[in-house]
Amino acid sequence: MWDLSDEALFAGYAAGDDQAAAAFVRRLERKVYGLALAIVRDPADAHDVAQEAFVRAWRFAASFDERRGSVAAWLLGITRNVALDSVRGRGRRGDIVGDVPGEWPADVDDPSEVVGVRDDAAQVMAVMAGLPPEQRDALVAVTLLGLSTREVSERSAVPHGTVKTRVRLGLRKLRSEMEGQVRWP
Amino acid sequence: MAVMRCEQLRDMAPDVALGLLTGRERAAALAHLERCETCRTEVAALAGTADELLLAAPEATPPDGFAAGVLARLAAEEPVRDAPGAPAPIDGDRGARPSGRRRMVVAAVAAVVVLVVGGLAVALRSDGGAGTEVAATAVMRTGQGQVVGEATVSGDAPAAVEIDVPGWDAMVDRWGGASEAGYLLAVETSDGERTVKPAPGAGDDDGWSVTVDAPAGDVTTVSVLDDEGRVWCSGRFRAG
Repeated sequence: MWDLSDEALFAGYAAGDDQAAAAFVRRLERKVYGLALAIVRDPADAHDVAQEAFVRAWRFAASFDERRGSVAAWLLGITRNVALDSVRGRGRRGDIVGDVPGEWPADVDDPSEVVGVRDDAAQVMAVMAGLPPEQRDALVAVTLLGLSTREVSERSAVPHGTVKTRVRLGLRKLRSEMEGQVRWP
Repeated sequence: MAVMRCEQLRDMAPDVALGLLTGRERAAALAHLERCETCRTEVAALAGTADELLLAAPEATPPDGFAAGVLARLAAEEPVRDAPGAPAPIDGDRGARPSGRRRMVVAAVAAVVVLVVGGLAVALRSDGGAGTEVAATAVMRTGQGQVVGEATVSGDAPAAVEIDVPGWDAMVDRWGGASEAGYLLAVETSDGERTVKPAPGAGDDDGWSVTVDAPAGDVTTVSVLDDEGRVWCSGRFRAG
């Protein structure tokens, strides 16, 4: 069971295969919970967000299209959205704005030495680590924290146009680098 | 609303991919994407990259029992997803075999058991099951939840599981071709036993039939897998 791809396990998860479901959750729970915790900053809230993300992935499994990306990235996108909804619902959006998690792994010197990460994640980290810090921070604030470029501008006291340029350049560079490195499905 | 050109759209493609546009800009961009496949592809690629970025998010160990909690919630949700309004079986005549449509496997062969190994027999469909009361049915779904057919189980030790997948052609088209090595049929029973056997070779006008040495009421799920272990479709039986 553990030799199966994420996508194969997800197929069983969506179809109600108990063994596949358990394996799928255990394989990705650290990533899902970790992302939830990075955004909501509270273990109890992160637990609820992570559980809700798995349930939504199961409920909306039919909308997953592996031609558009990996199931892990899709699930993490759901997690981010649930986490942002949770933060907004509690009126705590101001707490996270401009506050990029210090433990963001792209800051590590040698991403290949990060313990416990799978190859594709390590490759993303490596590419992220190669971005200019200002582009990386702007990109993380927008993609992970769900901020608008105007919000990033206001919090970081950087002109709005500059923030937009950083996000555009960062995303284009990331795509260009990842095309040759990440194993797209 | 001003018509947006490709050069303009490409300049702001990252903003579109990240959902950062609002108002008229957003409306103009969406109108352009609706008619320009090249720009759609560009935006989709950038959106995919942004999603992959999340793979580098920090990991953390959830509290003990997290996975069990998720599975318990799924169990509670199951009746909701299968409630009226959810995708219906392709053939509403439960227990009856659809006819005249392409199905997963070939010709009906009169009552010939091809394999009988370890209590599970895999046979080309015969007419032997005709007239036997169906104990339970299962909607066959892909991993994405798409309904592609139906399975029925009947009889007592051995129980006969019959699988009809009239949506098979669409599945093969979508997922890029059938497995040349053939397929496997997996049947699970309530005692946790899971038996996997090669399915008879693909043909063109019949369904698969499997018998398992257990009462029909004990058969819980049936799945069709390829030689790489990928689940092409599966179904959970419900008394009907």
